[in-house]
Amino acid sequence: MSMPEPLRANILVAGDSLAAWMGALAFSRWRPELAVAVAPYHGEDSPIADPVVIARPEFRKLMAQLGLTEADLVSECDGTFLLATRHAGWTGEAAVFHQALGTFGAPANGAAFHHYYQQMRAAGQAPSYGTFSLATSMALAGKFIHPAANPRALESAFDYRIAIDAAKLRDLAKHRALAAGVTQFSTKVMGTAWSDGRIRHLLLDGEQSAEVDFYLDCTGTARGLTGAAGWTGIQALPYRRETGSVETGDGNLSLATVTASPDRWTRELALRTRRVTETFSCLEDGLAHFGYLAVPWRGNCVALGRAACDLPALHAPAFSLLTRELGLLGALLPADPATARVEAREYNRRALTAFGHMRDAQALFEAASARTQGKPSPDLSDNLARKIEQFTSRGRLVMYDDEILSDSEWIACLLGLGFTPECVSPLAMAASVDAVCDNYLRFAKRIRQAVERMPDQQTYIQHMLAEYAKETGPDAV
Amino acid sequence: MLSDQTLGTILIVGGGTAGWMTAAALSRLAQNGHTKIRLVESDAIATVGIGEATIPPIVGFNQILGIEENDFLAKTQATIKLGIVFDGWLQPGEAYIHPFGEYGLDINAVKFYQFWLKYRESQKLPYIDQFCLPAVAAWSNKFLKPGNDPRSVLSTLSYAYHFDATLYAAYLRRLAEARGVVRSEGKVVDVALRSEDGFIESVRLESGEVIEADLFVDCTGFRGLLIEGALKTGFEDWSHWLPSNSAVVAPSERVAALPPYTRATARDAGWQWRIPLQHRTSHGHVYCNSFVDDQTAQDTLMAGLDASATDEPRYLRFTTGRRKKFWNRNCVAIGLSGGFMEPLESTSIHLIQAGISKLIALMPDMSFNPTERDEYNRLTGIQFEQIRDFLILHYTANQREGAFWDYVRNMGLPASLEEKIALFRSKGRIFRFQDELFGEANWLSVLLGQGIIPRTWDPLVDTMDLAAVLGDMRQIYQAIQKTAEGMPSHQDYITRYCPAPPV
Ligand SMILES: Cc1cc2nc3c(=O)[nH]c(=O)nc-3n(C[C@H](O)[C@H](O)[C@H](O)COP(=O)(O)OP(=O)(O)OC[C@H]3O[C@@H](n4cnc5c(N)ncnc54)[C@H](O)[C@@H]3O)c2cc1C
Repeated sequence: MSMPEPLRANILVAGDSLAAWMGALAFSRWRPELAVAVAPYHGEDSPIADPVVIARPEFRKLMAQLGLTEADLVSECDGTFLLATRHAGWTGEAAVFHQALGTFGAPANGAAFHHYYQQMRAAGQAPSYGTFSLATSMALAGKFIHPAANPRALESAFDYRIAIDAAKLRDLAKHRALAAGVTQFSTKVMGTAWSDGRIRHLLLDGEQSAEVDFYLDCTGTARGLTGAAGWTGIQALPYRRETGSVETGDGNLSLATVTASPDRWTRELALRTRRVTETFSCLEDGLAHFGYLAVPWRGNCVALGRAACDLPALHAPAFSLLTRELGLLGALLPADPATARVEAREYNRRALTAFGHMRDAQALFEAASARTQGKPSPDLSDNLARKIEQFTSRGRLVMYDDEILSDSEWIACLLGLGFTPECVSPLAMAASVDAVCDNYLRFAKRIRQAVERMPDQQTYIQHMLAEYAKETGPDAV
Repeated sequence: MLSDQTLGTILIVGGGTAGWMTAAALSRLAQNGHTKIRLVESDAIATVGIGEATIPPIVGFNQILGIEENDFLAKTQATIKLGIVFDGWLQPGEAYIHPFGEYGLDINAVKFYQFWLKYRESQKLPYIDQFCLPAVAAWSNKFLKPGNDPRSVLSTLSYAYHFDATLYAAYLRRLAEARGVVRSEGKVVDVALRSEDGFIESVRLESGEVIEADLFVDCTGFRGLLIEGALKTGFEDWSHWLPSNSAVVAPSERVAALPPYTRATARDAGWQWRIPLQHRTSHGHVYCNSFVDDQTAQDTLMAGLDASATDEPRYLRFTTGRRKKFWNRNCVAIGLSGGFMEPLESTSIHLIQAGISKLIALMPDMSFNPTERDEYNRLTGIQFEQIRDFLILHYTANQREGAFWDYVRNMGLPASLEEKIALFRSKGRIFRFQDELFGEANWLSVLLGQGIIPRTWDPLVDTMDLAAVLGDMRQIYQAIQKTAEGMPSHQDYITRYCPAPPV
């Protein structure tokens, strides 16, 4: 019996996940001359792990490269503009704070705002920290506009994320990828033949095989191509996810809420047509499977998405990391990926850095609630330990290369979680407390007034969709 | 909002560029009404008196101090610097510029230079510096201050200064004293350490006066009187990577058309600078005395002046490297006392400025928590290493003849630099690390200038339409050339805005 000829292409993407189709679309745009194929993986239990993904500003560049627009995301993927997350309960029932992009307050005399905020707090004259953030104030009022282009305008001092229906984005990416000439194999990938650190071929259903130049493992936690070798587990509380979804377009679109209690946390946010609630409850006896691949690009194969790094759900890490991974791959994209050793080394270094940053952002919350609620404390990386130590000592924020969270998010979270600086910048001490309070309370008033003038997000989006329909024709929406 | 832990007295020892920059910047702390800033310097011990070329962050430093630019330029005999011309570094007769600004504009989120790499030969493109405003302006001796409008080509230009180092220190001294810094004249002859923890307690002057302080800033130059003399901190020698250890310097009359750039010309065993000021031109030959004797080095310097010398040449010796700790106990070394890497990219004054801002951000209190000290040392160490790598890059890829150039071509490289060069060679990738002083455009100018040309380019370039890309490149080129043409000459700019009083 003779074996059928192997299926051929230049790039084979294994999986039916969001990562798989984003990866396929990306390669079809970056390298239109290459033949890109996508094949499902037999052991991929749930290709869409998250009901909602959240795109950070970093996604914009990739979005442009993929030929997608914000209007596509809003219209086709139920997208909304997320301005802030309200966190409650991480360090006690009453503890509430807001995480948002863009500036909080404004620096003065060479010292950042949070130094002055500490003084206001000490003087008993401090409203919540979020009062000084335009994004937070807009979010609480359910408003939205795009940031002003003029860097001197108050309305330029914020940024936003986009909440997207993950299944719909996968479908959109798939639709666009197929239209761009990506081939979809119907036979499933059953196994992988590695030798000398490279994939020789894939075994497909029905005794078929596929032999290509470069492989993307987008099979999620099945890690179908890369396998368990090199998987580095991390210590984190295992969680079980329960998802609820309410069909309503009503309510505040601009704000997400995260409510924590000692054994669970719940995130609620609005897509355009429904509200989605996800609860993550601790599994005391569960198996911790979280971790990352120590070498995500090995030989002629790169693992993307959950296949490369799987973390707990706080800060919606999956899509941020996928964005980072594809951004890196695009930036390093070699003419012949299969032989690119220097690029692979650089990719691995930077992907691992990104995984570490994301994990640190989560571990900060776990450490804070461990302090107050007697939960097991996570291991702190040196980077995070230094960040906490520097901040609590002098209010100085250490930012590392390629961070994912912005500096203002870190500060809001550190302060909100009770990591209070013991003392503040000497530059901030020169001004009188009365003058400081006076200045910043006026600043907060300007924010309130600016927010009052803005439209609510429902109205803003309706307008945007009407424009979109005009541009793309009546069938598009 | 002061705590009882706030520092009472900060003593700066040394009144060179480092001492007075530190004093001027820290004078803002004295506004809390509690902290006193003192400076002691000795008229009997001269400052190095050089260090006249800077890089763009100095503009921001002066602004923070509230210095009015034209007043400062006039009073320090200053001129504008748009970059450094490297003459003969790849091989004799070839020159390139490291300009302060970006190359072209990204096209569809792909870096401009990637297009240049692909099309430079097939489309006979001009050299990449013709797509960079400060380079075009520098080559034609022009200058105009960048505007605020981010859409205008003029906003892509950055600049720095050339100034008379002694006048700059004097300028800052006036400013610092006016803001409450107290200066004492006198030579420090003894440093007393506390027996319990080895912290510095006080310094004693020749006059017998004893000055106590909580924090000491060592700005005593190469001698490192406190950080090394008293605290024995140790020095990490980098001369195997940066072998120059001597300089001979001499001023000459000023040149007729003021160039808005520093020139660094490669010589047999080192290189020679030319820094144009309003009243004179500064020259110096930096060399390694294992490859050339002092007299020959001096002869080379004098033969390379483009106007007659106005003073006798003078010699300096140094060892490239860094102090093992920049902050040890209650003493922070800022300036030459902290380390020196040779003046090729004018980074020393910047390291002073960076040291000061880190010190302010990490200002200790009376408890001297090691958290701040360790972080200061970590960050400063990273910065020294990043600058070191950038400097070595200038030497390693040379095609010159001679024992000195053979040595620097064949010496091993730090792994960090080797990786950077490999990434660039393979596809023109440059990754900048956060807070790295020299960014993509800086690295690009020296990598290309030293003849390191990537084997290929970003494959995304291949997906874009040739005619459209060339159209964009042409537009960028024309906008830059036209903007430069419309700028006044550097000399006219100086005459109009900031002429120095005649000497
Ligand atoms: C050849 C060469 C070229 C350079 N070119 C550049 C350049 O182009 N750009 C650049 O940025 N940098 C350059 N530098 C570096 C630059 O000159 C220095 O960074 C800068 O001048 C700061 O020097 P300093 O203040 O640390 O030391 P110094 O100028 O040496 O000052 C030391 C001070 O300490 C005082 N002092 C010493 N001992 C005692 C004592 N016992 N008691 C009291 N006071 C004491 C002295 O009186 C003096 O005031 C160059 C350096 C060299 C060697």
